Amino acid sequence: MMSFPRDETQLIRRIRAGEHQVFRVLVDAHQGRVFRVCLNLLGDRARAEDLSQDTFVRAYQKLDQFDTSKGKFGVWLVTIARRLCLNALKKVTPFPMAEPPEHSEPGAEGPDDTMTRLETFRSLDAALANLSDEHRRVFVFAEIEELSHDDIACIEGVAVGTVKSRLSRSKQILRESLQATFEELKGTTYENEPKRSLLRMAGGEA
Amino acid sequence: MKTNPNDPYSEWLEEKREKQPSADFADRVMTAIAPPAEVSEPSPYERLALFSKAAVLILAAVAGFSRYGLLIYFVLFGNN
Repeated sequence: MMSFPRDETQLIRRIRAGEHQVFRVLVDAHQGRVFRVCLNLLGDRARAEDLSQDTFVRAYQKLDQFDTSKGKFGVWLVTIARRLCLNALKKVTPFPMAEPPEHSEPGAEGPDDTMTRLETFRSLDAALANLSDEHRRVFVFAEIEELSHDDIACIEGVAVGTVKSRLSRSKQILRESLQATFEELKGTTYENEPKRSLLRMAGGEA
Repeated sequence: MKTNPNDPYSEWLEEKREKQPSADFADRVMTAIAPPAEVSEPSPYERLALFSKAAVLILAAVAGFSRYGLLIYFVLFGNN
């Protein structure tokens, strides 16, 4: 069995030397993030898979251009994915609604709870879909992928302060969406669910 | 990040973070970047056989696909 060093710099060196099968280690390590970035920017699973694949193929072809001393491979991949998604979005219509949540544990909660949760999720999905592209990207990178502000600034090619202000604005819009759901549920036994989230978001927690 | 059961926002984020591509995604990427398979050149014997076949067919055509021409062709190359 083949042994792979953990250090990505060493992996990249081996791939450049012709061991193309070593690239699989990098694909396994980063496929989840690249796919989620594409999915959350495009809103369509099939297209997200296609563009994720294109991202890795492009990265493989341009691996010689990646400077291991200047940045992280994962951040570079997200930069490629972002560019491909932007090009794809230019060719098609608006961002479709995100996929409905996959997991709900039957038996662990009543149908009303599930409905409330789905309603809240749908409301957040819709709010995310309605964000401008640049705000949505920053939100996805920071809140879903938990990338640092420095990394996001590098990916977006903007100052860290701009990243912070876009993130703050995105959260505010989502907060307003949760607030609207909260208003709809006011007076019901579930009114506290979105309220707790609002408090959490207001507290600046991610 | 651990999900807070009373916080739909955290749950929503968690649900977003759990998305994964299909199971064969890495295989497809590796197939896409695989170097193209080398096309092997025919051996001298194969070249000779191809040339002979073509020559006999041409002769048969010239002879108007006579019984004898076709007979020669099938006797020589019938099993290929």
